[in-house]
Amino acid sequence: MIRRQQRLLRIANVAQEFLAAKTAADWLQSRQEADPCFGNQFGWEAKAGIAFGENLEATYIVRMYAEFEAGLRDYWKTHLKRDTHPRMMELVRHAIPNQMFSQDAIDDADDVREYRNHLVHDLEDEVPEGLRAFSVAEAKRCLCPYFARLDARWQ
Amino acid sequence: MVPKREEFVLDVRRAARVAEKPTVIADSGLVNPDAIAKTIYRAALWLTPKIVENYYPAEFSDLPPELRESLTRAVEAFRAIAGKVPADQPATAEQFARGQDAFRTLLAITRDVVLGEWRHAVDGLLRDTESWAKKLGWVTKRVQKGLSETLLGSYELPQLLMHAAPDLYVLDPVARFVPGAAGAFDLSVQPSFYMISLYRDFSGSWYAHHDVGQGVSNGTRDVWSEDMLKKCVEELGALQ
Repeated sequence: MIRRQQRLLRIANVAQEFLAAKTAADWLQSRQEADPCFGNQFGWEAKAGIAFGENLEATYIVRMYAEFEAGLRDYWKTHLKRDTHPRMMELVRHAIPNQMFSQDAIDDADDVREYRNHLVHDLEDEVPEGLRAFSVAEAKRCLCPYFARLDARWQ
Repeated sequence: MVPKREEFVLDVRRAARVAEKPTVIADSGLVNPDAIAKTIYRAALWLTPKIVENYYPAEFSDLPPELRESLTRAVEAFRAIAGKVPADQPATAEQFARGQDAFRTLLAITRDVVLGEWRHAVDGLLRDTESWAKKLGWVTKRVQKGLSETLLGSYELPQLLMHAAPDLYVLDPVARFVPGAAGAFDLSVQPSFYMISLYRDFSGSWYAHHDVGQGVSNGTRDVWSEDMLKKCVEELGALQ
């Protein structure tokens, strides 16, 4: 399997893990609804169970983006042979894309980057004006097409 | 350097992207996603005369007079409304509604202009490539492909299949909007991941971009020609 495909699979695997975690979260919610103190026997309080469900999507978007970032930095270093460490905004928008990338693919990935930064830094705030919010499935749909345009000769 | 005509088109494209109603997902039941989406939508980040500040009618002198006049009227109508919205305040409901109408008209006409010239350019590329392929003794076939891009929406363009025995090569449209160019195609050998990029510069000439793995600035650029088609096919075939 070529390296690009390996990296794409890692992103896709996070989306699969999220679905498994969502199933578990739904099950946990139903247990908590039946018994609000359900978590006590395992050492956690009811509010932790609620927060788990509420933050699940954001948690997996941050994880998915971490795979995307690790993949791009690997490409930058091992395929493009660069020893610099540009900011992700610079990598996503300018340093890596060439004419093989559609502008929409670049913009979509960059929107996920901005949303992930919002999640990491401003978790309690509302989504600000002009910022696009994503579900895990949408984030995958935006990050994978970008990655799919990387050079297949990357070893 | 990006020509003024393209700067105008890119400004309208960026505004079209901002104007798309955002998707809002809320994990908490206390947050109303519709209310947030409405707020963002009504913020009308696109309702600014900056969007059309790079419009110069002379840059579109090649268009049919009727289309050129429609574009100029749409730009002027949008500028008149957007110019009245204070930079430090949100648009009023009336300004928003009128601005939205003018913006839709501007998008529709700009789309017609861009899609018309893009289709024309693609047809030229494919006709040239088909004729060279036939001279080389290869069998060709066109197949329609669906694309979707900001500003242009959903549309179809032909892919060109070329059977240069023993391999099948595909000249496949990527997008009209790509970084630093006015359209791109992939030339690939099937089945494989390998491809060479073809792109159209802002003067309308097509180039093959080799060694794209070396980064934007280090690739080799060659004018698209019969010799280049043959060379690219040989290079891709060797990667099989």
